[in-house]
Amino acid sequence: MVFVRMAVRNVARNWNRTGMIILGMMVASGLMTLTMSLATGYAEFAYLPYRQMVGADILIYPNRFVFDSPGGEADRWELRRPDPDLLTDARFFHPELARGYLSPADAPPAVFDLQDVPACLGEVEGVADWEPGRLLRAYVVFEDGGRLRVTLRGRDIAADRERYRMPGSVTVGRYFREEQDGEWVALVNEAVPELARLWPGSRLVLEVPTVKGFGPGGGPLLDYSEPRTYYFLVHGRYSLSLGTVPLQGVSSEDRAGPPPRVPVAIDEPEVWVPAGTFDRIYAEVSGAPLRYTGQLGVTVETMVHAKTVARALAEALPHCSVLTVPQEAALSGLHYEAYLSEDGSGVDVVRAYRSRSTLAVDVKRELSFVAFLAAGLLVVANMYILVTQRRREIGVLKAIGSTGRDIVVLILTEAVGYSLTGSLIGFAAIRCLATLTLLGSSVTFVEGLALTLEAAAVVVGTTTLTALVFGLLPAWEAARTPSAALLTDR
Amino acid sequence: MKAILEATALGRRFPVGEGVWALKRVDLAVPRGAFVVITGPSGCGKTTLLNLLGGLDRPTRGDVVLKGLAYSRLDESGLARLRRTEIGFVFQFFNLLSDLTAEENVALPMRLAGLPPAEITSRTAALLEATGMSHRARHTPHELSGGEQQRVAVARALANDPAIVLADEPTGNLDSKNSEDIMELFRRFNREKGQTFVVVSHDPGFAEHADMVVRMRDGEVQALEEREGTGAC
Ligand SMILES: Nc1ncnc2c1ncn2[C@@H]1O[C@H](COP(=O)(O)OP(=O)(O)OP(=O)(O)O)[C@@H](O)[C@H]1O
Ligand SMILES: [Mg+2]
Repeated sequence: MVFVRMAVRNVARNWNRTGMIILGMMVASGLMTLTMSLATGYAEFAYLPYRQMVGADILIYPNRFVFDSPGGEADRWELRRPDPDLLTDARFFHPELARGYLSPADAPPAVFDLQDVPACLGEVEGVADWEPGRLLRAYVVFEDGGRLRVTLRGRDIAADRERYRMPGSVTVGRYFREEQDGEWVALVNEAVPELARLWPGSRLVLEVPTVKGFGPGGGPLLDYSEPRTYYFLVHGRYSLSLGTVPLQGVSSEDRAGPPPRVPVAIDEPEVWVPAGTFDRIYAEVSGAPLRYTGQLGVTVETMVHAKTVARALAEALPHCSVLTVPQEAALSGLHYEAYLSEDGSGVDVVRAYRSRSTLAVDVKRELSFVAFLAAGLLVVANMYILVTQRRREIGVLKAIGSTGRDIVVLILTEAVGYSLTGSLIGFAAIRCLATLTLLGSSVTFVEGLALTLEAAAVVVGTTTLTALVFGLLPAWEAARTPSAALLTDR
Repeated sequence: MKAILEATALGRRFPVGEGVWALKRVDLAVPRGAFVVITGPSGCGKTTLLNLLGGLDRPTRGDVVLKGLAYSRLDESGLARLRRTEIGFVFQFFNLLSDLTAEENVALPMRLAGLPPAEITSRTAALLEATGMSHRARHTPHELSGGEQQRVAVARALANDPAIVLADEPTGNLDSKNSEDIMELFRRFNREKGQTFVVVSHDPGFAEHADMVVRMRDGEVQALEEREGTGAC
């Protein structure tokens, strides 16, 4: 008891040492908290532009994708998308997938029959809503006769407003109002130069090929020879900004200072119309209401749980491929690079693909393991400092009659004091960021609290346990060393 | 003449290089109530001897017997108990615990020995009074001068009323005025309480009043001078 009290007093009084060690513990536990927070869930705004584009947080693809190979039947390769890691491997061995696999049009068709969508979709915990993917191939016809191939996408106005903050991404004009569902209004992607010429109030002419039927896999067979023409009023332009990228090809001799940065945005040629409008078009070009779709989009209650929800969905739908949009986006490897154009007159933004997905965006278990290891080493180093710095003090304690056990109790109590204080502060500091995200999301207070407590238990527990185990070793060593040897130590 | 502390054929070898016999062979009997001073040139083994006498280190050969208890028969915790209750240490560099106040430093050995709190409080006050440190009871070591720190250290060494006090150059880091004070303190406790002292020191002030002076050289006792009145207790 004497030594427990003394340890508590040491922690409370010696602020030089306490400060240093607690700082170390803070950094360690902060590191753990960060990786844990990243590994358990996304920030609420993770990959927002991509989620805005698809109008979903999780995408579900039907049964399977089959890729024919020149080797014939025997080499035909099936992608069931059971998990993202397999996808990464698949992309490694089949680089051609890197460009095409996300686009249902490039893969042999496979569709969901909306009359037969699994009931479990709405029942999985954490799912807020789901929508069929409303996508059609179409052409914008310009007054000068030019044509641009685009994707016609039907939007859920309510979800766009509430979940995807779309009004904020409309740069010119305004986002759709709810009562415009079914009207002939359209939004265009500003990042596409041809579409950037359109202004609110302009007329937009769209040719939509007719659907002649459905292929063996269920996909629509398009007839481009007899398109139907639709006239829209441009309601505005949107821009799904991805931030800025450094301008490449500018040498440091040309100019001083950091390289200039160029803003980039998703440049998919798309025309958006309200979901009701899309359904009218679809019914007209196919002669029947929307029934088959190549993807289902799921909106989750909170991105923090998106991975868990995706995992639950994948389990409930064993024959489907389920991926969160952040996973998809990271796996596709698509990113943008900016170069000075050849003649030096302007800037070219080009799409590029990374051969490997970036790890940081989708923290894998291995990464959190490494982070925990690093944090653990930091704690271990701290404990060694705590003991080795004080061999003389331990020598004095032994000289006045403390036993080895007393010394061990002293050191371990201090270890617990330091690691508890340090890890709680470190946890709190890092976690409050994550908690702000939680609060900004639609997690209930109790749920957020439970998540936070769980993470706290892991971080504080790991730090304290490490400190105890690795405090015990040097403490035991010092406890066994004769006082005379400890006293001559400097 | 009855010895309270007895060393027989005491030797200590340090395993550096081919091995260094810091202490070759020392036989020494310290009478109860005596004031013993150990002197000798640097490196002759004085500290080594004192550490062995105090049970801070284990001898390579030989044995130490304190009040009839042979160290060789005690395990680590037995030796710790002995240091706690029967031995008081005073070091050249004071060695107070820097996180504790003067008062707490003095009280610590008593708390280790499990004395009742009331007794600890009164004894601590008495010891600080006796060493002239009452006015600094609530100060931490770095708020005290060297001489003051050493007086607190003496109070701590005497806390559990040990049978013997061992001091390794207790005035080695003090000016002459403070040295004189510490010497006076030692003599007073020796005279008034009959406490046995073994002091390593070059200070002629100590040797002057010693009952016995042990002169060492090369890890051995070179000469042993006993003065008048030795063993009177
Ligand atoms: N832990 C150790 N390891 C190796 N050699 C040691 C150790 N401690 C002491 N020695 C050696 O033993 C010899 C005696 O050392 P000791 O400290 O007992 O001398 P001392 O008489 O106290 O000297 P001083 O007057 O300088 O304090 C020295 O030669 C010293 O180098
Ligand atoms: Mg010495």
